[in-house]
Amino acid sequence: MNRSWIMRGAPGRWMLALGFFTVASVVLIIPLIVGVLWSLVDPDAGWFPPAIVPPSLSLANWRAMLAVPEIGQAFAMSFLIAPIVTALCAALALPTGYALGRRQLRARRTIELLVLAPIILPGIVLATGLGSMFIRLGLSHTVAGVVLVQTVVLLPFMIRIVAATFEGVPQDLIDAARNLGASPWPLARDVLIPLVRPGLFAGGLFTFIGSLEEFVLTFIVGMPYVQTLPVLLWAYLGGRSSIFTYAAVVTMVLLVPTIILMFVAERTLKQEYLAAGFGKV
Amino acid sequence: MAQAAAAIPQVTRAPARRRHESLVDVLLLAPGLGYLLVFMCVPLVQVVLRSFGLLAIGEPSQFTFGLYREVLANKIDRDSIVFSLYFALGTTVISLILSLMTSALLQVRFPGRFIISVLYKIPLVVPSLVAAFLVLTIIDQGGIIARALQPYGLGWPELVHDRYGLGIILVLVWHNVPIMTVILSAVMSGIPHDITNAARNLGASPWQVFRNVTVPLSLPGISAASLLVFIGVFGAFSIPSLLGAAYPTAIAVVMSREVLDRANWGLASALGTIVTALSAVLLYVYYRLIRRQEAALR
Amino acid sequence: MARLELRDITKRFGRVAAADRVSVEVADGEFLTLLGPSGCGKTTTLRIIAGLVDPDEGEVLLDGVAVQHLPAHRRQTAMVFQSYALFPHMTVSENIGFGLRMRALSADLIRQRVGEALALVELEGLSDRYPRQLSGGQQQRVAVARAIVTRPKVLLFDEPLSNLDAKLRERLRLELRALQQRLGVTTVYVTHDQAEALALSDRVAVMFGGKVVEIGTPRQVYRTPRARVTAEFLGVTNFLDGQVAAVADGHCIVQTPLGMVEADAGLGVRMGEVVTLSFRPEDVRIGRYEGTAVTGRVLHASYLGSVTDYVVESGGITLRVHEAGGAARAPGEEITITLPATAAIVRGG
Repeated sequence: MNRSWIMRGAPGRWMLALGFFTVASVVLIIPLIVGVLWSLVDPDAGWFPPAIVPPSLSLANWRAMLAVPEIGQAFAMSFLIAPIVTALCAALALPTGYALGRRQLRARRTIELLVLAPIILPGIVLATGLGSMFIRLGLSHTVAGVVLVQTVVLLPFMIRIVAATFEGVPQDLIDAARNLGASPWPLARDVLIPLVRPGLFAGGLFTFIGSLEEFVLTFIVGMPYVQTLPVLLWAYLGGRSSIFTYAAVVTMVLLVPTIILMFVAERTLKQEYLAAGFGKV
Repeated sequence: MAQAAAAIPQVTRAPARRRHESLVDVLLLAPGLGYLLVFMCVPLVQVVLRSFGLLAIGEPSQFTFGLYREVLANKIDRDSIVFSLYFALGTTVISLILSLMTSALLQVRFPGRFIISVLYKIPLVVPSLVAAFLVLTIIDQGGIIARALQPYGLGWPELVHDRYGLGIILVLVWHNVPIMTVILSAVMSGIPHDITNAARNLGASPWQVFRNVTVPLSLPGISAASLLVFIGVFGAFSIPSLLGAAYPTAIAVVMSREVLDRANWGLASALGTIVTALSAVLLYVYYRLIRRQEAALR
Repeated sequence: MARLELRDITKRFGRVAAADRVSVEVADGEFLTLLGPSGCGKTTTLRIIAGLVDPDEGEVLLDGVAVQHLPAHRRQTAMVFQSYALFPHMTVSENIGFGLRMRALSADLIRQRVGEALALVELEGLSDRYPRQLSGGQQQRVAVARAIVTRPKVLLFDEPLSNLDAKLRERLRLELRALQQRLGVTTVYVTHDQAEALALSDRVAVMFGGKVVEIGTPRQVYRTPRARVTAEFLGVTNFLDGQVAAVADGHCIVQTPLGMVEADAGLGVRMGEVVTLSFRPEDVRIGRYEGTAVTGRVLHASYLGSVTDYVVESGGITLRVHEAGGAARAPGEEITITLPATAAIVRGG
């Protein structure tokens, strides 16, 4: 686009920067600070209006994470489910993503639509269908059931990222390796896999964090026995009864992997993997 | 002829090789697509069938439009559809305006642009429940803004649990502006500088360039992003369930109540089918539009 | 080292024949160039030799043995790609040693051969760099070293110099030729650059529309092309129509609107036949010499440095004339030109 939009020269650029940073601090940074403050509120003193900052701070709410059994249990449950979902998605997505990325397929459009569907379909619709199906199969309210439903919504992201990764390997490199005498197995081991490793790692991380954060399907299928961190957060935010301080603690726990994802995404993930993940319709 | 004779072994060999290749394709696709067929297509078909009274749970199965008649007759269900359409449309329009501005401004070089381009993506990866909490701490009656205004005797309007769903729209906008901005920025930075420079050279003001060149050329991205956001928001559950008023409620909230509180899978399925059908129609319209645009550009 | 032969190679992509009954023989140690415009099928032919593309019909013979059914990794060909196709996750020496590792050579032998190859392309000291840390010219040398280190039966080049700037391209062209002659390896080289083809090759095969239209030494294809397209593609040329007036032992006299011109009659020229002559601008001399001289008028003059390019009109026919040195002649000036002693008869379109 035009390089000198509305405001010409250096002063205009500084104005623009000022505008952007003001908006960013109001909508992003202040909420984050307030969120952290809520997690540090001293339960004895509380934090009532019109105080702008809490009268006293403590780590009591963080200690509650260990003391309140349901928080610890939800934490354990989330970190039990996420690796299983990631492994399952990787196993299912690798061959399919490879086929989508590197082979000439006849029904490509239909296949891509099928893979796109769970990303676009509202989670509540999938949850309704899977919920009733799992009741019949005896999978409702079980960890296995939650693993299976989370896989439905995360597998498409994994497939798309794997496909984009494989597609991104230049054909010339494959041809060069074959030309230099690489038979299929060494070709995969020495050329293909090293080249796709960053993409696969990113896909795995994306899936792992996606599993930690998934809510709707886990909520409908897992309730009330399988309680992950987002389900608990929903409860603390007023779904059951409002406990803002605990909600703040759970929020911070859920934000850490998110921030990690941001950094990894910026550093190792190329923009196209992200675009593939988030679905160019 | 010589080449006809040479072609004969080819004719007999090619189909066998092609069959072998297809088999490899099927084997590679089987894990991923098979899983989606079993755990997405089957339940989806069940939802649709159940919405017509078939495959009923705990009731006799028979084909009927009764559930849809029930949805239309019930004011709560009817209003939930209207309410969902309302906040989905509102969120999409507001997000589109904000992200068009943001992505156009992000094309300009300014100090700290890199930091901003990282910062604005944060909401993209923040779970919607966390987003709800963060925005809640700011805009709620006990939130920071209300607290800041209190000493001056200024009141702060009720934005959460209000009947206009303003809190819902606010959080959804917070969450969706970055998604749209990522898509629109990518599309806009893909427009060759030569084209915008040519427009400038021909006498277009920056605003005219934006209006007549940038926006039309970004139209595929704009429609894709709008559609993505609209469909996503229309079926949203967590934010409307936390920030919505007791009445009217979002369609997803009504569905979850039917399922969890009343085990009324039939009615939930009818609502689910309506949501799915609307999404499918929008997607179809979108594909038609894109096809026509591509044809026009060719 | 090996003799390579292609017999009636045909490859179709959909309804387009990328290679249409291509038959070529390359002698042991010979440097053959496939020259043609983009889309003429030269790269497809090269990939068929490497086994990266399967031909629909025809045979590829290496030392008389059909190899078209062998997979690419067992062909014993080595290719230098247009993009170089260096493995970005491997260092220079790992890239060069890749083919040797695939052949399961001992680590010592690999190290020794990689060292030799590095010395050959003058890249000692860069062995631990990654491809992205090299300049374009250095990357190109690594690609060459990676190909020759496996001691292939046939060396294949796919426009290896097209991503380099003009000066470097010229220098590497000389180096490539010297290297190939030193190694004596059978080579097939693909390019669309006629100067490159003429400078490098023992023989040039000119390709158009999937077909080989002409094969010959650089001198033959440039000076005495048989096909009109060859004459046109290889630089600037003059076409002149005429009628054969006399034929005698391999030569003939052609009556043209500008006068009699002698031509090579290798193609079975008959008396009275209407033919097209082709001759180069530098074969026309300004001034009156032995042979057919005509007067003409200068229409345009462009100074090109080494020569001046004139467009001359004579008897309603325009000719391109190149003169090295000489006086500057202004447009409108009347001059005398002498037609070449011999011209080529070209056929087709």
